[in-house]
Amino acid sequence: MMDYGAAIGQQLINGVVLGLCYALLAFGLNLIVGILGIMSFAQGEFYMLGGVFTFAFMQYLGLGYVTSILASILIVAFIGALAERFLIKPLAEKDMEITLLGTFAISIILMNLLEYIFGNTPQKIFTPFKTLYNIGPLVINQQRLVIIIAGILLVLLFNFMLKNTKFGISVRATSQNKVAANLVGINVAKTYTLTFGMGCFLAAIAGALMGPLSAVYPSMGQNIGLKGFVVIVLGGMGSLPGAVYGGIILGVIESLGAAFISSEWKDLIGYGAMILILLFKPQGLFGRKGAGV
Amino acid sequence: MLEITQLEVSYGAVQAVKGIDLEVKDGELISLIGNNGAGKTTTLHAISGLLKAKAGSIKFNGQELTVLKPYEILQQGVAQVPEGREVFPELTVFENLEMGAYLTSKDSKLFNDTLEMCYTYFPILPKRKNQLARTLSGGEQQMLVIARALMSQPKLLLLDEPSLGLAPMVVEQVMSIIQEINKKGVAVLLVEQNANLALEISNRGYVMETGKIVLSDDSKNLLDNEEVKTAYLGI
Repeated sequence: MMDYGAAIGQQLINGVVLGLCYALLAFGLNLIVGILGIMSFAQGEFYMLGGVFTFAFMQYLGLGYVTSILASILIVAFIGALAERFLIKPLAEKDMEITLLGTFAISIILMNLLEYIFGNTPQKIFTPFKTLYNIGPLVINQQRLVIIIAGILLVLLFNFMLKNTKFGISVRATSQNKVAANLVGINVAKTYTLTFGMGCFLAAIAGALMGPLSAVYPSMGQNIGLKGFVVIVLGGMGSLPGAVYGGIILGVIESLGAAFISSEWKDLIGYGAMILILLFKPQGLFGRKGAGV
Repeated sequence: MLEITQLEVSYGAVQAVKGIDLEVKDGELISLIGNNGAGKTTTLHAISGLLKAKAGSIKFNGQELTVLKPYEILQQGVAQVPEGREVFPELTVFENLEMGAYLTSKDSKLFNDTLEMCYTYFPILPKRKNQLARTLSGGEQQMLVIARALMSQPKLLLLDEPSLGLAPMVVEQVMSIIQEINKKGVAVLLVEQNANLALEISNRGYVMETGKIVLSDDSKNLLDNEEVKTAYLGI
């Protein structure tokens, strides 16, 4: 009986860690969905870039793990902003629906470009956070602890920024009423570019943090990009708290499902949950109809 | 102050404004009346830079506005109160006003003075300060949007149908505040379907029909004009 409880506890920890990474990626995706009003198919590739760049900086430039993460997430945010400014914005001016294909194109271009440069061999990121901690019968390694702390801090930080700073309020104002935003002097085009960059930034952090727990390779964004959709369907399109709760819920049910049913069922459980939500609560668990960010 | 010459604007495939001339001088309160679909809102959107002019010019104190972005036009001192109470629904009343001063809030003394002025015009707003804008009544939302525009300290205020859908008593209140704002030296261009109301408080008026200005005169003359009376005043 004791063993069973410990196993559940262990899987809960793993689930929360995985869930916080989903949450960061989905928080960024919901920023993009909620503020620009477009769905991005490239979110998984920005996650991948975070991981692959972190690996590359460590491997080829000899930088430390933390420095490499900081450098890669800033570069990824910049790439995201450029993609919005020079690809998504011109498309959106012609037809909002084409932007969906535009982000799909970004996803394929990034994946293939990186494969061309680095090859598709899975690589390992070696983290300096290797200590193991024992909490009663449970074991947690330092990297997982770092993910939990960083994930919570980032969500709180972005939430604070959006609620309390002039920039954050102007971002929310733009999502709630574009005409009025223009009329009060908010530079809407710039807000969109910065927001898309922030969304990519969050995905990249998740990728760089998860790197040491799995492996990094150019096509790693495909599956996690789909998980991003599952999370925002669970939590509610455009809902930021929804992205966080939805991410953690998905991470936990996947981990428990993998441990106690079968690891082959892991994806089925996640997508199954998405279909149930779409059927019975299409606005998501935490979404409100017609609400802005 | 504002000089529009031969302005043409298309709204999608439709040419909604077909070459109009319109002028607002310093300190004036000008009304632009006409039926639904005459091109009044399109004209205001072109002034604010929300729509691009197809031809013609809009000069504000000598500066051509048709080449500027909406936030640059606001910086020049032209603010718009759009039709239909366009608040930021999920922001508080105070945050809405703060956004109104988006380009000017660096000087906090100026911000506070302007805020005080708005609160004096609309005493209901300080009472609702921390409420979300979507919880306000229609009249309160209209007041909030006017106050939000005033927070940018405009020299020219464009108002699009401020009376639409408001209770008669609230309409009177809003109209008298618009007059008060104008008396403080802010020029006003007032777009109204309610021609009577607009002509009562304005110095001069323009009548717009299917994209063209068909009449312009002192407001009191327009109130006596037989065509205007039958077409717009319902007399």
